[in-house]
Amino acid sequence: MRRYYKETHGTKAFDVFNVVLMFLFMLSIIFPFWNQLCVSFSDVSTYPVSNITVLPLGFNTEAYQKVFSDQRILRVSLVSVMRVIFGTTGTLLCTGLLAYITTIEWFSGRKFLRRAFLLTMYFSAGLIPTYLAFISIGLYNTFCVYIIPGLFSAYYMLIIASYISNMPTALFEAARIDGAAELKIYFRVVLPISIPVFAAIAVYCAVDQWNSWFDTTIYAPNGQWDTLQIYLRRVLLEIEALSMIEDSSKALSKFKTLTPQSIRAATTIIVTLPIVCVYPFLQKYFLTGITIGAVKE
Amino acid sequence: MKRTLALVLTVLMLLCLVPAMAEGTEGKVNMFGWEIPDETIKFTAYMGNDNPDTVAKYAAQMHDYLVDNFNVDITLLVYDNDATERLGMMAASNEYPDVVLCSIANAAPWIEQGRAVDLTDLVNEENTPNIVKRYGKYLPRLYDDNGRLMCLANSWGMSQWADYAPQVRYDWYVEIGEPDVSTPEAYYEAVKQMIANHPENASGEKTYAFGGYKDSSYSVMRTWLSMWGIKKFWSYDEENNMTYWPFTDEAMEMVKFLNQVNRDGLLDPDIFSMTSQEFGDRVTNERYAAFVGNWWICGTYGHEKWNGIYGDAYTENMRYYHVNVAPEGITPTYNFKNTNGSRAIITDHATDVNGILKWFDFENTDKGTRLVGYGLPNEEGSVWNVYEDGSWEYTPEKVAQITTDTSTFDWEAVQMLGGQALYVMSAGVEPLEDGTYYWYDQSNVDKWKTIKDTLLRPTFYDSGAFDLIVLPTDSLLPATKTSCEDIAMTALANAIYASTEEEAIAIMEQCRDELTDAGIDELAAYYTEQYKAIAEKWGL
Amino acid sequence: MDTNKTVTAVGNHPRSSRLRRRLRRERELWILSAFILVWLAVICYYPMYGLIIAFKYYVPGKPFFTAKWVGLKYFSQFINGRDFPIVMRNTLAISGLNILFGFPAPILLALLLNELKNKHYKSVVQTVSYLPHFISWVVAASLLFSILNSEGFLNKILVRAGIIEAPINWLSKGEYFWGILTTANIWKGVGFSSIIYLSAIAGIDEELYQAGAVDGLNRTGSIWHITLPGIRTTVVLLGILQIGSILNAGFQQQLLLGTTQTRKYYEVIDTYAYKYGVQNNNYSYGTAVGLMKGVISVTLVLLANRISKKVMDIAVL
Repeated sequence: MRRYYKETHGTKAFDVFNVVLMFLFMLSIIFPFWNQLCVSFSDVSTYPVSNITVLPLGFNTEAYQKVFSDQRILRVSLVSVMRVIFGTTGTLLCTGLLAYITTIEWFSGRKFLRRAFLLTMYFSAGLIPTYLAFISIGLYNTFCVYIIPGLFSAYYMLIIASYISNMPTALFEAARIDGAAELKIYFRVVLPISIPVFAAIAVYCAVDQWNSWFDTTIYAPNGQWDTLQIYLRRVLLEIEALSMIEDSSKALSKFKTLTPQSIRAATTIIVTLPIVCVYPFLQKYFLTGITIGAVKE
Repeated sequence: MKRTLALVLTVLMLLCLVPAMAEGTEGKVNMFGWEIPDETIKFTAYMGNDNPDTVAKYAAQMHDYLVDNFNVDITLLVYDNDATERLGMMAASNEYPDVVLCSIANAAPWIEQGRAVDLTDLVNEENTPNIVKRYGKYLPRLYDDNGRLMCLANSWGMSQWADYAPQVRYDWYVEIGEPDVSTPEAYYEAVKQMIANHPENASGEKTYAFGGYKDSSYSVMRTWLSMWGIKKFWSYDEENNMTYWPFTDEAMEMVKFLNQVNRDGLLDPDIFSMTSQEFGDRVTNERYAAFVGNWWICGTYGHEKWNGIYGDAYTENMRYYHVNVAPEGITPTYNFKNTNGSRAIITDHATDVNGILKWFDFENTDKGTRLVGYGLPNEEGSVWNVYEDGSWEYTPEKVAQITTDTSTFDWEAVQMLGGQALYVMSAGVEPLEDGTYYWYDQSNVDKWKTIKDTLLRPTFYDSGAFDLIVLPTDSLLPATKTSCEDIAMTALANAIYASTEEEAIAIMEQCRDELTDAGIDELAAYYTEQYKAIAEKWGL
Repeated sequence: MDTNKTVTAVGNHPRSSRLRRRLRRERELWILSAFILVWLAVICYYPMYGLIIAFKYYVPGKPFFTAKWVGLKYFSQFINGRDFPIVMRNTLAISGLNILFGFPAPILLALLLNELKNKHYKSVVQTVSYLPHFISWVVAASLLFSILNSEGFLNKILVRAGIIEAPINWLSKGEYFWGILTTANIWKGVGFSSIIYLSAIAGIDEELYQAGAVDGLNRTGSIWHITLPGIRTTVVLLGILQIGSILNAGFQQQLLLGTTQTRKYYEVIDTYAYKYGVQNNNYSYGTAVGLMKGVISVTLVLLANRISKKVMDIAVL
């Protein structure tokens, strides 16, 4: 961001402090990732995982070879990418439109719409009724079950609407007087000036879509629409399911073929990296402020 | 001319058919003693909560083998979500497979809602001779109060190996001359001596007498309580009146014992916050002189790992050795045996009930039980081989691996052949005719396991009657049970780590008041009443 | 201002024609809304018939409507439960700490990030800061264990520095649990939550800063008078929504970080409802607790909205 105020000793000292503080903060975050990376490159069948801190023990790349040798990984990755692309686009366009409609002050349905959506944030129907509903609508075991239920989100609606309502209404009215249809105003006027908030929501949506796994287990369990995330979850949840088994022999046999921690760590890294790259890509939209004046011209 | 040609052709065709037919009748029984049906027996079975990816991977080869050699097409279904939840969803949507395997509690609503096929007239000497023979005295236990048989059992019966045991680090124990450890006091004395010899591990970390980990069934604490004769957190008098463990003197002794260990600085402070894997890492790092609990966890993280880490410096005595410890005048109850197993329901969606029963009956023959337990024979990596004449044997090379150094045994290979009980639906853990089981590792035991199983044999008991009790879901009892468990375990954890014995006792006394307040009396009364009824029915 | 114009314009006409005019004007919007409303009805509201089982004894597999009515049985079972006071205390305490520290943390981070001069450093910090969001609680919990256990990193440092004499078992002492959990929550969520504030800051018209500098605003002054007012609506909106989720104090982190010894400090409504509802196979109980939470949340949100309207003239709903 450009600085318009006057630099003093105080502001310079603060800059140094800020840089150092952020550095420490980053350190606290990078350490766990580094640790996971080390685990993923270690020989965990020999060395106890808790002994691995900042360097791998018994360095090898077996874990990665094993994960990538699984034929399914390509297919599940593809489903994940499709989820992110279609899910994010769908949610942004639909929820954005909804948000815009609810900011039009002379529209008599705006309060009703907002409140009807607000309720959905706090009341959910529960697992079984939703499951039955999805079966009867025909969403069960389809790719659409990832997209359609998420098209409109009350939370994002409120955020986008609060952003749009900060914009001068004159912008929209001018287009309206020119006889533009609402949809056209939405695409031509609202979207361009709201790029920062749409970028932020895009990050949230993309990450949500990428990270989702629960809906696969409930609404698309036939394996056809497995995502990369459910693939990872299964590897991570194995260990939790293990503590529920009371039969000692059964537990032993499960334990013996438990996914090694190095593969768990490798899968975590593989699943996290792609989505982490989405952010820097969208980040440029927050780096400099926009000038509303420019849009008007 | 035409007629002759037709005749010749007919004769030729007939000639071709004869050997085919002969082969057909001859091949009807395969080398497992299975009579191959003309029509494919096809069914789907819900096996519970598991990882669908791995189950699909492990089930594939066995599935194809059964189709080719048995004309049986079984599809195993597992889901990521909790079994209770998935069963609820299945029942609600009326979409479920032909066979459902589930816990006793989860089976109850299915039977009540009429989703289970009534097997009363189908399971008998004539129709399913092997089930009748092999289930033996456990079959009558499956009939409900109206004398109907609505389900079969899975993994039922009394196994003859010890799952839980007190253990000592054997080479350290040998060092001090293998003193007597038959009472808790002697056991602790020996452990203290071992710690005195090994106060630190190689990296200078302090060693402890005992460790443990958190898990949903509190198996470590349950095993500690069973040293004082408590059965699955309940104590029984001669008339089978049940008392919850905090109200017993034995449990108080156990609390005092562990509290003493803690005050001596020899109890790992992190028992209740460690996961089993974190605990295992400490075992590998040689942090414990002894352990009370699951038999295999210290083996997996102990000698099997040390073997790889220390190489030539590893000696056979570097391992955990199982001992039997009992306070004077008390029979310890380390090993509960849930003889009910879990439930196998044939649902009303099944189209071929007789076919499924035929398969279940085969599963209960010796060879059938082995097939579903050990996985495919005669393949590379198979742990057993079956020959055309019907005889069979364990693969010698595999036996050598599992009995000398289990770390070299390839568990994954066995699972890839459908082994480790992946396909078990109605078989039991009772010993087969030759004394082996469908668990491969329990059928071929080394001397250490033999010592464990012989030594701990007197600590086995049938917990079936208790495990059969299902608390009615429309009453407050399940909630009472949950709160009582919470109260008691919290008190136990805090009492063990109390800084004085008086404080520990005070915590337990307060816990008793809280339990009474939470309704433990009603819970105990319900359990006692049910237990007595079942015991009477079973003639225990 | 726009609304006023509309009202005066239609003010002279009779009622019916006013309505007709209004509908004609809003026709386009209603058509768009119709699609949205159909979605809302089918996906969100139609399955809500299932909430009826909060008042019934429901066993999955039996029809919802024929289940036995039990009235408020499950509500009273929850409220009269032995541990209810403790559970409420923990929920409110953990949520309270989350609001007190967890809510301002991303705002602060966004402001600090915005003050970084070097564009590249800023974008690196930003990217890194959102990483913990991707670490599952299972992994985070095992890392926390390695820091906080009786011989962990923290104890080693504190003992060596002479701050404590003997190691403290942080995870088994209830009094530390809330602090540990809040810190972990902030660490995990702060970067990810700050994205929205960064986008709000990005939306502030740059001309305002120029004008501010002309008026002689210094650094703190421009943060205080331009940046903060610029993101005010976003802050208030998220604040109100956060108040609505005061009864959601977490679930997985409690189960993973909590121990038997700290149960009286970690048990919150969601873990409690899970234990007594789902694990006891009692759907009705779980639904009743969920319904109750929903009613309380909506009430709180509407209340907070009203207050913000009165005090700050920002109504977000």
